[in-house]
This record gives sequence, C-alpha cells and structure tokens, in this order.
Amino acid sequence: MAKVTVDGIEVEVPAGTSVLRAAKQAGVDVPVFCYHPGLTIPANCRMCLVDIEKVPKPLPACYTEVTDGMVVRTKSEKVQATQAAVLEFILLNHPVDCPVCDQAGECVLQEHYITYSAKPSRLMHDKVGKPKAKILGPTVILDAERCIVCTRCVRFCEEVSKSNELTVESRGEHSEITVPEGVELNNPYSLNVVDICPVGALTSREFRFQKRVWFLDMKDSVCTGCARGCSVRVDSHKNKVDRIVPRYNPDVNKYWMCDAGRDSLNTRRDKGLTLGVVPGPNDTVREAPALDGLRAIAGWLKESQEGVGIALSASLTNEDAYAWARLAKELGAKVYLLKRAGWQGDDILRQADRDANDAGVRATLTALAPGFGDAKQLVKDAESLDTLIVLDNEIAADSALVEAISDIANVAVLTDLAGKLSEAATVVVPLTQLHAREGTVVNCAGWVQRIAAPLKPAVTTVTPIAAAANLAHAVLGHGEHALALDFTEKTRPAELFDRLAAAVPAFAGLSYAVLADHGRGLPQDGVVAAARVHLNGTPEWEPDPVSPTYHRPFHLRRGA
Amino acid sequence: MAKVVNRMHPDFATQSYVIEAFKGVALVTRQFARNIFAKKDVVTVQYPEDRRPYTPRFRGKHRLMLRDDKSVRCVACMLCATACPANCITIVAQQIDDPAIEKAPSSFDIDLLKCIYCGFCEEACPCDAIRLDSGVHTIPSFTRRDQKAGVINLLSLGTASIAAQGGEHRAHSHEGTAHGRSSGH
Repeated sequence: MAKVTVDGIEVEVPAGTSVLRAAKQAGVDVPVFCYHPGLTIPANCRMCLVDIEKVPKPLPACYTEVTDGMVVRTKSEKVQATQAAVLEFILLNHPVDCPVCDQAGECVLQEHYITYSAKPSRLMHDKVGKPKAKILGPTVILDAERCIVCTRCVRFCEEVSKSNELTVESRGEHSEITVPEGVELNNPYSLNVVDICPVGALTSREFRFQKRVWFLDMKDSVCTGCARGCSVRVDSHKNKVDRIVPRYNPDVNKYWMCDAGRDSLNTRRDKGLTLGVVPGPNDTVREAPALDGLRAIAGWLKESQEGVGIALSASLTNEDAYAWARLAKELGAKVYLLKRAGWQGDDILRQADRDANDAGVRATLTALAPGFGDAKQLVKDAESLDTLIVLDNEIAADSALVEAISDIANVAVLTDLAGKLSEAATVVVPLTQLHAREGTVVNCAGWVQRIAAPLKPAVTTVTPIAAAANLAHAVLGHGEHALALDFTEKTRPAELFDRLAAAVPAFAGLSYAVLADHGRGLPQDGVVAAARVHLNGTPEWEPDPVSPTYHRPFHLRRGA
Repeated sequence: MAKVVNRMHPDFATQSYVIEAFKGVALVTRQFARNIFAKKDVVTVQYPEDRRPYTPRFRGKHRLMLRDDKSVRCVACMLCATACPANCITIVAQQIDDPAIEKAPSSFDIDLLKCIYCGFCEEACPCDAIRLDSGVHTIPSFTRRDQKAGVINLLSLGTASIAAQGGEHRAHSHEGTAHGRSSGH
C-alpha cells in the first residue's frame, strides 16, 4: 500500500495504482480525453498532466504509478497553465461547429474548455482542413476535423473487437483517423467507438441529426437482445426511443454492447402492435384492443372441455412468468416454455441463446409449474388441447410448431410484435411494447437486473401481468382460486418481484430495491452477494470518466 | 420610510367646477377647430388606412433569414427550441449534401398560438436565422391549423442576412469547415 496526498487529501492505495485513480479515490477529478478504463493507456492527450512534488515537469496522471509519500497537486498554477495550454493546442484546428455537431451537450471538449481554459483562440492563420462526414462503414461516420486523435477508437478496434479496422494516418496536426484502403469499419461492436469518442468525430449514422442530446430522457435498462443482458441506457424523447447506449456493469458487459443488441431494441419502436385481432360476426375478423381479446379468451377458458395450454416465451420477465405460472396453476393448465431462434454468438459479449431471461423463467417455472414442457412437448400434446394461450416474444416458430398450433381449436397469442404465431392465431392480444414494460431478467451468468420502462404504453395494450389478472378475474370470479392469486391488474413488477423472491427458492433473499443500478447475482446457497462497493462507500467499479453514460450533462425540462 | 404627501387644497372657485367646466369645453372646442381647419397636432390616425410605425424592437411574426444563395440559414441546431419557454418550435433536421453546412431543417414549425413572442429564439440563434423583426402582427385566422407557421410561411418574409456565420477565425483556404462557406461574404 502507498500513501498519497492529492490536493491535501491523504489516501491509501495499493502500489501500482495510477495517480488518476488515486485522485479519484480522494474525490479529485482529473480531466482526461484519451484515458479509458477499458482500454490500454497511451497518455497521448496530455490533458491529465498533474504536478508531482520533486518532479520538475508535470506528469500524466493516467500513466504515472503512485509511490509511497507522493504529493500530487492537480490545481496548482503550473497545472492550470498546462491544462489551458493543452486545450489551446487541441482546439487549434477544431472547427467549433457545435451547432451542427451531434456531440454538443455531452462533449468532453466543450466541458473541459469551459472548465479549464475558456480563452479565445490566438490562431492567426488558416485552420487545417480535413474530411467532413466521411463514411467509415455501415454504422459510423467520421468528421476528421473534430477529432482530437485520442485514439480511443483505434484502441477499441485493436483490443476489444480485435478487428483492427481503424488507424491513424499522417503526423502532427495532419494526423487523422482513417480506415485502410478497401477496409470499412464493419464489426459487430462498431457503434461502441461512437460511445467512447469524447468529441463529435465519430457519430452514429442512425442517430445522426435525429435529436439534440439534451432533450433526451435517460433511463437505465437492460438489453433483451440475447442471454447476455447487457446493461444499457435507453435515451428517449417524446415517448420515442432515440438511441441505446451501453452502461458500465463490471459483472455483465463492462463498457460495451453489440450493434445487433442496439438494433433489436431499436427496431421494435416502429413495429409494435397496438391493436390485436378478434373474431367478428360471420367468420370475419376485426382489429381490437387488448381487452376485447382477453374477453374472447376468457370465454374459451370457461367452456374449455379437454385441456388448456399456456406457452410462455423465455424472454418474458420473471414477474410475467410468475403471474402466468400462478394463473396456470389455478386454471389447471399445462405450461410450456418456448425459445427464440438463436444466433451466432461470440466470445466478447454475444450469446448464441437469444432469450433474455431463460434462466429466470426456468427457475420460476421449476418452482411454480414443475414438469413444464418445451416446444417439442407442445407439438406432441397439441391434440389433447382445445385452448392454447401463447405469450410470444419472437418465439422460433418452425413449421411443425405452427402446424401443431393450427390444429388446436382456440389459439390466442399475446404479443408485442406480429410474427408467424400471431398469424396462425384466432385471437391476438397486443402486449405493451418492450420499453414500456418494467420487470427483472436473469442473464446467462445468473445476474439479475431491472428493465426500465421509459415510454408510456399505448392505452389499447396490456401488460402480461394485467392480462393474467384480467383473465383470472373473468374466469375464476371471486372464488377461492382467484383469492389464491396475489396480484391484480394494477400490481407493479416491483411488488411482484418481492413476492416472487419469497415463492421461488432461486431468488430467495433478493428484493427489487437491491437490484437498483447494477443488479445482483442470483443467491448462491441462500447467500446474496454484497454490493460491489468498497468499505469506505466508494464504488469498486470504474465508469468511463468522460463518458456521459453515467450522468446527464444538462438537466432540461421534460416537455421540450 | 415615511413619505410626506402634499395633498391638493383647491380653492372654492375650483371646487365649484363652474369655471373648470367651461375651461374643459374650451379645450375640446379648440382642439376640434384645430383638427378641422389647421390639421396640426392630430393625435389619432385613420386606422386601418393609416398605421403608426412600429419601433424597430417590435417583435412580430417570425421569419427565417436566407444565405446569399437563397438557402435557409437555419442549421437545425435546436437552440431556439431549447430556449423557447412555450415549447412552440418543432424542427426536424436532415442531412444535406453541402459538406460545409451538413445540416438543415427539413421542417420548421412554429405554433403561433403557443408562441409568446418573447424573442428568446432570435437571441439563442447562432446563425441569425430566425428573427421576429418582420413588423407583421400575427394575423388572426379561423382555424387552428392556420396558426401553424411552416418553413415556407416563415421564409416568405425572410431576406438575405448580412451577418457572418461562425467564429472569428474562419478557414479561408479550406472550404470544408462549417463556417467557412456559410458566412455571408
């Protein structure tokens, strides 16, 4: 351990810690551009230069290791002059086109300039011109003039995605991020370079010019694209999701997420169902809101003679699975667990299993509906069923399954996206769309996280919990079966999770409150893991010091 | 702090109002005669044929200013929409081919019923694109839809602006910077 004094505050850190992290522990923020905790340290931006006693020149805090008895000053006159000089150099050829730059509002250069320099440029001659709006690949666009050549993106492609597409060309003020001839920035993780770019040099082609960032309402959520369940932040405005960015979570996704994950969350915004289908008079069908569909299903359930099947998607939240498993028990229905079609996994983040909550739904059903079947079992049992309710979430519908389902007399599909199963169903009930549904999911490694609901649901849709409560009320009435259910249409997932934790052994000891921020692992042998914080209260994790993913740069009114 | 108020103490002649009433009639008669014969010092105007000029700082209907090449100066930076306390400005941005400008509005709507004519938008604008100095009162209309000023509507009052866009140190040699080309030179 080494004792270090940073701006008069003494902290004890392990030997080998960088001055930057020691300063962080002392509560002192050192400005950086090129340093990223998830990448190697090149110390090329020189923004973090600090004054260390007995050293004649300022040293980069990100790269310098502490020694015992080191005295660091981050706000001395020498440091202030150095920071102002570094910023003047960085800004020398910067176009200052903030009004058209997508990064404006969450730009580290803007913030550092106001904090550490705020001086006019002394450049007497022309700025160096570089390519504007240069397309690097299918997802990313480069503005070379705005680039400060911190090489975060280059290092990302070398170290994380290991695809080596980006490189620096030329030297000095002519240096420029570029792709080699014939290569384009096209890897499954390419959009991360946009997130880690401290300035507006790399921007997303999809998000470009869509929204000024200060309008965005930022909510912490979880990606449901695959079983990894990356922690994300959902940025929305006016009830519309504008972008998805990764959120630091040391136990799940570190700092990154894949492009397909963003896509899977984004594409839902235009394709969501708001109206379902119910049979009308004389063999016609009509579009109908959720309650009409539920009424039709309740009618079937009351008249059902042979058997009722309830097929749940492995992408549902724990609370949804809990509510439907309880309902199935009271109805005496058979329960099936259906999976989404997998995709190509990799050894960075993507999992071959695409179901966001396979582990959670499986654990819930094991406790509440033991002996549940899978898709094959459903195909086998189809003849013995006269009513089937499917909670769909992009379930892999192969021809055998669709055929088996079309043989069943009454098939209802509750879904937020139209698919093969909803086409084969008699009744389709629109479920509340993804970003308007709260809940918890368990990822492939047993990490439980909360999904947020930044959007307002369409009034014609219904959440799975409300649908289960509605059916229970309509079918079971006020009898003892209905009283056995511990949720109503208005029960929030937060409440339900606590009941779930009491009923399902795999979740014992967890509560909705402790899942805040980064989630928790499933209890091991009945013991819930401690939160990842040091004894002195500081978090053990280290978010990107310049990324706006963990704090909102502006606090503007919502209505704008 | 207490303040001494000098109250009027009119004499008996004034209090009786007999003389004062005649004085008043005389004043009105004199002005009437002047209006008819001398036509001087007339304080009223024949509205709506005659109108008083507005002061230069009058904030009337909005207009969008133009560059020399007649394109709209607005770069859809949304600073007006951000500053607007009434949330009446809706801009949809699009990418344009000119690499020096990059961004332009594809639609620029102002809800004139919501607008409070505070002028924050023109103060916030970094491009001198929106102004409220058209001197035109917002015209009443029969439908709500007519109170929505779109880009065509806003451009109809606009003229070329001579304001320079961008910062002090503009790139003269390289046309590729955002404020190199779009300035009014």
